[in-house]
Amino acid sequence: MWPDLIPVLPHDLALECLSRLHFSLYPLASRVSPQWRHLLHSHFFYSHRKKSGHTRYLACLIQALPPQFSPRALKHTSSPTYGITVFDPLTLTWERLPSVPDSALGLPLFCQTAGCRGSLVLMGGWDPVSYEPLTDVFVYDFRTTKWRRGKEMPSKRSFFAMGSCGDRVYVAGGHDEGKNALKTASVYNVGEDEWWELPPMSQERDECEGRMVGEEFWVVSGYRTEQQGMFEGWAEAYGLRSGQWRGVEGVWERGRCPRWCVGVGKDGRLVSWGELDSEVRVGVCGVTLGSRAMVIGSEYEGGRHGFYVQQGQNCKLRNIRVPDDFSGFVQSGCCVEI
Amino acid sequence: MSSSVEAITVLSSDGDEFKITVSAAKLSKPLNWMLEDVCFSDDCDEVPTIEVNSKTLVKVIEYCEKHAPRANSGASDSDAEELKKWDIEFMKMDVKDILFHILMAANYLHMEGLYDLACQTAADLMKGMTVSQIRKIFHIKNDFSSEEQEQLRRQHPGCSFD
Repeated sequence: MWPDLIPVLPHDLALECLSRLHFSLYPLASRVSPQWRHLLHSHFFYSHRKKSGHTRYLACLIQALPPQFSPRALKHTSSPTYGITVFDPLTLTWERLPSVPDSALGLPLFCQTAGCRGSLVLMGGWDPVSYEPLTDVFVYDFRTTKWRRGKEMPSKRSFFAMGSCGDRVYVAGGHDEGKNALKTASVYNVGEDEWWELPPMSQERDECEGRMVGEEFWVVSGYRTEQQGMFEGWAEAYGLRSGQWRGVEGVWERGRCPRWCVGVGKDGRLVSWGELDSEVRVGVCGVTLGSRAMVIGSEYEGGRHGFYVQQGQNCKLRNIRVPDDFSGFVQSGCCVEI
Repeated sequence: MSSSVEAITVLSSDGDEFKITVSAAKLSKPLNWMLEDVCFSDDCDEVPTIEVNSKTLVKVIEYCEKHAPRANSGASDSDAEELKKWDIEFMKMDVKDILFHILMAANYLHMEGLYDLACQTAADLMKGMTVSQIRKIFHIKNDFSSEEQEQLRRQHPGCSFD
């Protein structure tokens, strides 16, 4: 299928060598030969590496940029500009992704992200100047290191739940332009660049949070339009196989906002990252990265936020040193397996 | 197996003789089978041949001898750390000459640790190289057609293809 990857080596040995290539070298390696290029850009290569345990879990964070990176058009406003930071928990290295296409003003405010088979999918959010809700979808492919535009979201939706499995990104809840809470749900297939509508949840859920739990897409907490801020203590779970929603009672503390802070334990139970350690009690954002996790938060309101890595479940948080350029406020994050 | 046997003699594909200790040979299933054959056979003078050239076999045996104590008895974290450092030094070698031979030998001798190490070393070699340096080391001809090359240049402005 991929003849002569490395002429002096049998095919399977050559494939094993390339499987261990650090992802940051993909752009370079894909210019070596047509065979390498086809291999590195193929779905086969990703699934082969996943099967043989050579994929990596990266944290992609929506992070406030240092002032010198702010686009000129936003200099007069006080709100920070956000960019996407990539953190590799194995090598403890930090990088920043190139900005999304046609984004003179930086990322949409409160845009949301999910990792999808070697790609980062970013959607929604508000125009940084007019605060108009946006329906743009962008996909960053780590193999080609390029952004492309995806098919727009079928409707305007803010502060929704998002989760991904395989090639699909699930969204549900949030609110529409009129700040009405939503019970609708959709799925975006990244490979086919197509949206489909899902059956609706049983109730509206604004500011809910999405997580994948086994083969279910969980939409955690949220509140109805008339119950502003009164967060529910239950979740609704969409079975990826059954195509049905089911209610899951008593999985979240009533009244607690779930944004960015829902973790899923090994046993499938939900945890709040903020309860892990008093040092991340406030403004916490957690991202599960395979057997590790990255947690960012501060000890008290207005306190300096710290960056932590948890090596395995039930382990203590380990503080990590962060270069100045990457120490800005982290709004949200997701894991991309590449 | 007689406990008095501590090392066996093997021949490389070039016909040179090498000694390998019993405990080191245990890192490789095929080597271990050969060793059992030698020890149990009546004709103890027969020297088995390993289809690996002398230059490569020296390195493979060096690796086995270094890793044998840990593989056979388990080791502390500090030993593992020390061994890791040793592996890195061990892999600093003339690539064209020997790395690919070691990789093939490790595959042939079913030595998982060395195989993994050699594959990773080959992958890591590309760090800091130019495209043409990679081609040279991996013996790859640039067979992008001129149209493909032109298209790639347009798609990746500022990137070198040489």
